[in-house]
Amino acid sequence: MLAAEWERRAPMADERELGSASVEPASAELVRRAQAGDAVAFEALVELHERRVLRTALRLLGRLDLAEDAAQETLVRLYRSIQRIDPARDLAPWLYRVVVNVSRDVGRRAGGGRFVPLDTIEEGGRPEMRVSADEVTRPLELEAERRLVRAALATLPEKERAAVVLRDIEGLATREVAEVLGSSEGTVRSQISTARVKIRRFVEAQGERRR
Amino acid sequence: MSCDRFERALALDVSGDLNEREARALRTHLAGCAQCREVAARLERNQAALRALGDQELPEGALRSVRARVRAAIASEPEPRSPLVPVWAWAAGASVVALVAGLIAWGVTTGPSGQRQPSSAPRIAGSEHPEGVGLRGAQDPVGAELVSARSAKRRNGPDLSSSPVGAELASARSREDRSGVETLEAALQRSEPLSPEDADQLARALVYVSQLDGVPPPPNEPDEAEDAAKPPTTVVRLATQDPNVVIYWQMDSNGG
Repeated sequence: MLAAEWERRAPMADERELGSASVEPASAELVRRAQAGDAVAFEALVELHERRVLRTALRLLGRLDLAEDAAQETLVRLYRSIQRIDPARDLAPWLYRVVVNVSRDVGRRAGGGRFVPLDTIEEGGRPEMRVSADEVTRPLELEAERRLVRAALATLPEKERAAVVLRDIEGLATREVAEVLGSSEGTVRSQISTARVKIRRFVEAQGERRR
Repeated sequence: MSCDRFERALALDVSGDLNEREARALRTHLAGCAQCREVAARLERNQAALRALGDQELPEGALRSVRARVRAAIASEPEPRSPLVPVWAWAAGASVVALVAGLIAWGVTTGPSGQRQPSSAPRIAGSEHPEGVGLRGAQDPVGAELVSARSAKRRNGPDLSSSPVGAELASARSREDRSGVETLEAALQRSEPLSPEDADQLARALVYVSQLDGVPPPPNEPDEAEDAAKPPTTVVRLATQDPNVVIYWQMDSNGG
């Protein structure tokens, strides 16, 4: 399909409700057609899942430029692996697993062990931590809280961050998170509870500091 | 806080990840602990903020950028291959078809004026051949070579070196590369030309490329599954006019 045609096409509905056990019919059909060599079907498949992939990479990496790199690599891997995908099975866990692995590699290449430095989050490194004096003198509004939580995510170790992103932001069940990360449910529960405690303490500490 | 042991339980409770017994114990504690109720409220707010991150719109420019980059990247990628029958297996099948066609053409062009005379022996000399059936047995060098190779394969420990074709087969099996098909073809083309009758019989041969014991498709596993995926064993079956005469040529995953 020509690029212009692709761009003109109305965006497709973004994926099924996460956690559903059923395979989205549209996705399964697109996989089948892509396996038969239908390039248009593959591009439609990309459109169907690109938001999920980019959003997950962004929350894992904290920077849009790195997230775009990870999303690109994930979707190219989908292209390379399309013949091995079982259309009868949900594609989402496969994509999550790949995007988590790719984001880990991209993050390590960009900044060592941590995904990103604490003070350079989102939008190509723009500081994310600025919370106005107004915001901190009254109970934090959702937007301010969201920024702090996003900043807190950046402080988490990779595995805890991945668990929280998949469980709390992407809405996967604990069992699904465990499958994606190749861990046991018990391990994921532990990672999630530890991460939430850390996030709470971080947000609290930042609020105190600004007062 | 004095209630550290409940902090983790509170962190799991915000998403309903406690079992019934744990949840009951926590409720009992919360009823009498204002400090933990405050922590629970804070965790709830954080949880709402986390969920809101998932609802945030992504910059449309970023999605366009990713699409364009994916499109550019896959434009330089080779066509994804089907793992069910590897390309080389199809190439092997195609080579066999080409071989048959080549032999037919050779036999037809050399025909009656060729070096060999048409044989008066029956086309299928089952009673004359120790295998019971065959492609003309010892009277036909090509047929004898093929039967010899088949017999040797049945014995599963063949000494194929006495036959040029068998030697080529053995050589092809033992090699790691995938040039065995071409080598066999070359060997057969070096043998004597076929009579028109031979050519006629070969012209009726059917070639099948099929998969032995179809390997089930792997689950949707990323990288590890990609690395672990092995090409399936493939067999080329040459079935002649006579239903009793079938030549199997099994290729392992390395093409040997």
